[in-house]
Amino acid sequence: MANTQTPVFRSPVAAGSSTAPATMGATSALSLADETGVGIVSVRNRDEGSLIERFATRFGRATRSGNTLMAGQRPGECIIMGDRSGVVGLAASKQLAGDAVVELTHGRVVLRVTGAQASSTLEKVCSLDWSDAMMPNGAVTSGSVAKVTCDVIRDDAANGTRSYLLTADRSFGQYLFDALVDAGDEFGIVVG
Amino acid sequence: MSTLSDRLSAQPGEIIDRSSKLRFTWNGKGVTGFAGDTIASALMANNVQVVSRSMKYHRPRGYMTADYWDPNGSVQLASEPNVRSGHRQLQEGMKVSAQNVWPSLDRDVRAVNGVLGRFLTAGFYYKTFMHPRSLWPTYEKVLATFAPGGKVDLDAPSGYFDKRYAHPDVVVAGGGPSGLAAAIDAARAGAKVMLVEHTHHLGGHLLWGSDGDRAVLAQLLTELAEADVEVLVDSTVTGRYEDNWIGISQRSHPGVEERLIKARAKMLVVAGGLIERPYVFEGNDLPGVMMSSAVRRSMAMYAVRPGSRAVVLSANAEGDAAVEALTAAGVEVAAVVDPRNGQDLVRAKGSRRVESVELADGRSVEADLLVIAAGWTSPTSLINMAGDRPSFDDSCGRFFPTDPPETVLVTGGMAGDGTTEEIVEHGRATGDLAARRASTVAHRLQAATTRAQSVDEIEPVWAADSRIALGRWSHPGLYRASTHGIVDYSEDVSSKDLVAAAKEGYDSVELLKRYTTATMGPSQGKLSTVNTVAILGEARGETIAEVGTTVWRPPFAPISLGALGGRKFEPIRVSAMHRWHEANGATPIIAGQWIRPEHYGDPAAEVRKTRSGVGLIDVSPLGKLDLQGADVPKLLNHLYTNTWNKLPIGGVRYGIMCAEDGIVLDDGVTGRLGENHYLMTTTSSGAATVWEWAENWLQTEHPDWDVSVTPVTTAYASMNLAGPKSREVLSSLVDDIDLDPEDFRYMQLRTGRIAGVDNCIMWRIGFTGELSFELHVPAGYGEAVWRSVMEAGAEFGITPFGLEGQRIMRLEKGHFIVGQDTDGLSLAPATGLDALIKLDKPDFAGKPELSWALENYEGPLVVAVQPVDPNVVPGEASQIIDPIDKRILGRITSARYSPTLERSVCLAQVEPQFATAGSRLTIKMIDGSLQEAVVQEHHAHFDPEGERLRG
Amino acid sequence: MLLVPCPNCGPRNSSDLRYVGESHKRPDPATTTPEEWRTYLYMHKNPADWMMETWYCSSGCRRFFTIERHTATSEFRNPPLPGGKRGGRA
Repeated sequence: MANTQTPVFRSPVAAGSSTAPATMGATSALSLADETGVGIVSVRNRDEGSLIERFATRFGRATRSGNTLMAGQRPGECIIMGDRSGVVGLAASKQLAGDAVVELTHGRVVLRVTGAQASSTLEKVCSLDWSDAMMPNGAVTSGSVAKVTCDVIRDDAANGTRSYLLTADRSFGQYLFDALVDAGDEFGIVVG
Repeated sequence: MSTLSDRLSAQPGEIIDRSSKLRFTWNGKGVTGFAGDTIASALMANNVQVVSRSMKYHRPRGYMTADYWDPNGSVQLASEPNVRSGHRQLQEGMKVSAQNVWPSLDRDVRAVNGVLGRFLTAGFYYKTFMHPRSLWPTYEKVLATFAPGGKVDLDAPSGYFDKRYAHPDVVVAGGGPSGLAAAIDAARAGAKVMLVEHTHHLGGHLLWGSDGDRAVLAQLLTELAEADVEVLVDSTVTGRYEDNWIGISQRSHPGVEERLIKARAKMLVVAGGLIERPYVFEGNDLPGVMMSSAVRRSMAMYAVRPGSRAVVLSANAEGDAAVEALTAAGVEVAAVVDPRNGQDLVRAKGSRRVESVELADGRSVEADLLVIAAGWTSPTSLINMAGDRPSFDDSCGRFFPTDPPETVLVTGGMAGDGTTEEIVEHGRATGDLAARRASTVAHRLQAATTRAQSVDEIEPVWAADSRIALGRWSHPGLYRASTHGIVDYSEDVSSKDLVAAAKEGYDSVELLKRYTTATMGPSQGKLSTVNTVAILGEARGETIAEVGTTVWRPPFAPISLGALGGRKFEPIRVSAMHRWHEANGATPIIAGQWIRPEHYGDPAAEVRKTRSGVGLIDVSPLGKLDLQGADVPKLLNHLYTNTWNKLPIGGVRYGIMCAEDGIVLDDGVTGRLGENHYLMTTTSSGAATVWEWAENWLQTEHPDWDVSVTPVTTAYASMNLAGPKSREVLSSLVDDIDLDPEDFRYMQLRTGRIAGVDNCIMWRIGFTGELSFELHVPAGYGEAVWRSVMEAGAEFGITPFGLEGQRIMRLEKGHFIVGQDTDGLSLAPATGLDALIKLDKPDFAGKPELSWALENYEGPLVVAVQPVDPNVVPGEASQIIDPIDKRILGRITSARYSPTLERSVCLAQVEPQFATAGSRLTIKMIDGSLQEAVVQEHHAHFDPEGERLRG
Repeated sequence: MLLVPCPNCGPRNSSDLRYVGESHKRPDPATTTPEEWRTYLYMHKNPADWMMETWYCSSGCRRFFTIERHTATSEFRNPPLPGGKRGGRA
């Protein structure tokens, strides 16, 4: 091996993205964070019941267990997010015959919008109903955000602050990030 | 000129702020107004009487309704045309001028049209300028100078237009007394309410009503402030679409020019109020002829005195109120004409303003103001859009809702007449009903939506409509006096025009509208529709109800194109190596949503260096689908035309896919990673289609097959390392993959570590025709691996190459591109890959068509073609023709100059009798010249035996 | 914008789905005739009436389903069925 450098993982969102207007920091009422690189594994099984049993979640709902989030993303598909080796290990440890397991850590950009104004920001770029009634904490769905199909999980902070996790095809990462910064500008969105 | 109009002393309900004086200019002349003024009220206060010239006849026009709908009120601002001066609020430093005038408002030379006016009847332009056709460009230039509208400033900076979606329980369209009351009571009943008011102020006609009206308004505004209502003023509900999808144009959002809100409302309350209807008589468009509501609004809200001596036509209580208000403001009321007592007027006379009014009893009354209170038009647009066909009530001369959907409620003047208290009560009951119904709709939505908060099993009952209906106050139906006058002020259409058009046979209301353009101008028929129908009825001897009305379509009021465009959602996709490409001089090319390197300066050099040494291209957009399950071979057999039963683990195979009509849909390679695990690649542009195509078959025809399809296009950064030195470059970057050509052969794949990155997939395949390795690496490490490959390749003279270099090399090799060398009519046999169509399979997509096509294929074939002159590169899509009879025999589908062969190379589609090797073809070049070309034996111009890529 | 009752997601904006088209049965490729096959490919009943049609929830659950809709009023009736009949071309 000629090359002995440790390869560097890169997010599709440029650090200190030039279009981001604000300073880094999480003190604002509204923030946008790039969480790309978090481990993501998709587990699919035609037997929806076996997924519910193993991952304590059903279609449309997410369950959090420490740092691991298990989301019933689509009928017959559970998305596990968290520490990379943890989620890969979790999927392997619970694997049954008939599972299709695909690691998507590298395939998805992961953005988190947090704050009281997070739903006001998202309703500028997406026609989904972001209200508590239609999307309570733990709700899971998919939709078009600024014309990019995103998987969406309402995953509020431990202190109850409203927070939405958006994942999309990695190649849209910078575009999606910029679109969210633009939408959140009027609410003083900060990056970080 | 004497001062006819000016400012009154302080009025109890005025909304101008006299302490804040604003300077602005009117046609270059400095004038002043107050904060709170509209441009119109400020101009009226400055005694401006002629504000515009009419569209066709360039007649002088003054304010008639002095609101958004005023057909005469469009003005030019510095860089904004067609501004509605009755609506737009005055700002310090505004440069306001008249539009559609030349050389000036006072002396408009085109007013000569006024003399010729009798010739400018409906259809005049069509009839006069139709022939000869050859002169049309000349006519067009001349006529364009007569066209109405302001000037667009092409250098004006583009504004920021915003967009938002909303999911309110109740949208209330209209902030008059009924709308305010509805919003308040809906919110009190627990609904999330959005109240949308077209003007800048809530209150509707209470704003210019009695002291009592103003007290009611104050009370409502207090209640509103306590209720949780989102209030949008200077905003318009522009349309109602299926399932209460509501368009709202919000002009008042801070920091943006305009914002388009798309709201999914559970209930819509239509409280649009009424629009005062003009009266048709000779001289009815003279400056000084004003609607009673305009007169009252101007005096009450802006303290503008609209004239000094008035004649009032009063057919209803509002007209009577205008008489009172004028008297109170010190305007002399010279005569009241009361049609309720059989009185009428005949015509208004004057040159630049009303000077006298001739009455039916023979009197002629000197006046500079003629106030019209003839009746009302109900702006039923939103209920029309909801599917209702409103019915006309002769007793009060307006349309009423017939049977709107249960999720659309109507209140206020559109629902009926009543005292202010009755209207408010009706509004409250409507708001309460809307809230209760909205809770049922919300329950249904939540119950049907898996992710939503759970709800009780029992659905709230659908609230019955128990509102006490409003009355209908009858008054004389006044549409046209004994004389003819203007019906549509925006379009300068007179009642004579309408009668003439009806006589010419345009006697259905939809035809009449299109022929005469009545109701089609900027006021969109708000003022003219009912009169148009009434006059057509007169001509046909029918009632208004019998004639029927035109259908009101969205938008209710104009939306700027900027708002419709809004913030542009145009997704852009880039690969993991995009930043490297940018930093290394790549020229970008847009390919669908992707931005890719077209080349890095010199595509021909990139080709030569790759063919002689080694090159690296980013092929990340290549579609990739992860396929898992016991039945993957069944799916592959079904999607591809060839057979997939025996692909070994580690093997890679090429295939083409056809749609059910036998047309080539996509092509690509699929490799087998494990027992039940495959990776399919598709063309970049076909990635989404193929994914959905696979899901379609799995979900509809073969739900029993055990296959999971997961799109992983950008989970991998993909790059193709091509050229005779590619193996040497790669050998320094892998440690657990044996690159020995005896072991790792063409059309095989390996998985392992590349440049220290685990879980990579590598396969020997290439579009370029060279020995090449396609590397699929976890995308987060894509840039790292790319850099490592470039570093390792440095000693071999590696070059990055772009899409253009790849296109040249694939064309040298004669590889077709689906959608470029094939098209929407290309059956699979057109590609010459008949061997890849396996009819012995029991079924696959498109099989019946392909079996018939293979029996007797007579369509065009894809062939390789070389022009006789090696320096001639035909334009793509150049025709191949028969040189004698000029019949089209085919076309060039791809053409490039080959740096490798130092000659031009092409792919073409030609009719089969010309597709044999050695056939001479004639290409018609873009410039019309003809060039000879010869059909080649193989698709590949270069290395037809494929020795290089198997090396 | 129509609300389409997705059997998995619940009501969704029609822009979140792809309209596949009128549902029809795919003829048996082993026995079909050109006439029957091309009727399947190209002919649509297109009634101003109730019609079975297929939708694909492309932005949502990625499931095909079949549902009855009145083409004149866009009302839906009866619960949607998963999968359903193919809509012809890709």
